[in-house]
Amino acid sequence: METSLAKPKALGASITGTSEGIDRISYLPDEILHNILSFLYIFDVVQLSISSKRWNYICRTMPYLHFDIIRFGNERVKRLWDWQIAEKFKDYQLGGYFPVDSSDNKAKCCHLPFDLPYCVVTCESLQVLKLQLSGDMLKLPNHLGFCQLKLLHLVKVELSNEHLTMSKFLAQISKVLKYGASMAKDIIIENPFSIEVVHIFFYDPDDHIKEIGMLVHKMIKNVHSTSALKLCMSSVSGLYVGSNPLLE
Amino acid sequence: MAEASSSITEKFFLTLKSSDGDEFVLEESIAIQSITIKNMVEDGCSSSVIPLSKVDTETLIKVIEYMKMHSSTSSNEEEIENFDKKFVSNSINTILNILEAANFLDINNLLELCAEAVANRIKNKTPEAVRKIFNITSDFTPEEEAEIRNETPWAFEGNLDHSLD
Repeated sequence: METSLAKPKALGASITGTSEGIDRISYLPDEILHNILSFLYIFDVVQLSISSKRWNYICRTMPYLHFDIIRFGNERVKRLWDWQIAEKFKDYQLGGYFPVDSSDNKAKCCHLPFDLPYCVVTCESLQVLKLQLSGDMLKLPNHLGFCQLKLLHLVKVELSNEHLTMSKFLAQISKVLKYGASMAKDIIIENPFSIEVVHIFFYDPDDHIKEIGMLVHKMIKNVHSTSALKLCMSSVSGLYVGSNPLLE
Repeated sequence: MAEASSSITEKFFLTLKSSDGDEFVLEESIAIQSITIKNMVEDGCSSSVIPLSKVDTETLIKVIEYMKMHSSTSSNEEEIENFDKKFVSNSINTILNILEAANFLDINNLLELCAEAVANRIKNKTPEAVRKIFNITSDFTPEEEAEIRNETPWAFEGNLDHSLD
């Protein structure tokens, strides 16, 4: 059965089977393999890169990066986050892959903003970027990037004051924006012609409910192409308090 | 007769032909879960048999089983969930065949289901176990492999699973 299969676009390497069985998976097209790997965290993906030249190629061309340092600690090394783990991931940055930096909330005050590195912003194959920074500040680049980005998912990411405006940076590229933060922030998306799905949630909105309503309204007002809007409960109640007509 | 033709529930049938030459008759409403087939129907190519040269009989039977279960007219959520669970317990090569078929037929739910099933068999496994599970032969020299391991040593540590399940 397998012998009738057409040879795949052998980008990367030749493929052989062992005597016991046929290497079915390596014959699949790149896009299917990328789809499979999109369900894995980056540490499993990187590990696969030694499997063979073909897999090395697949891992290095992954259009979906899913990085979560907390999960690495919990699921892989079975250890709570500590500086040692964070240090390890710094090597990753040097390796030319996706760089990582994170801290727990306690270390927040002494932590510098996280600069989204140039190589990630300009990466032409990147389609999905999920960031979990444990409350750290994210510094967005001022120039355009992310030619192919379809989904940007920010969790526990604070935007610095000078970057409250997500501006053209996001507007022209991303189709889906998910943003979660502990504090309500004034997020303004200018010129957001391509964004179709916006998902915003705040964790502890205690005294900010009214504010959120206003902010979300301000942001959404200019989003012409939005076809789906997901808000968490607190944002929704915020919308009502702000007597926003959006939910009609 | 007049009644039947005016009925909204009138059923259309399509014939799908596998790469092994076996033909399967399927309700159109079920078959068009495949975007590829849907496009063919809309383009008017469905009057005769639809040849699926990339899908063998064994795989096509599974895909049809899946589409029947997931068609809107039948089965409740719990049934579907149980079906999916059982579905992904097929052998790894069967899953890979279905995955490729789902990609060709453009059935997104099935594609995601199978891709996740494959990913779950990779998750937290040692590279050696992954190679054995999928019969991947390394074409790296030991030196090259060591070099890649050294680039990202952290990816190879932790409580990894050696089993081949």
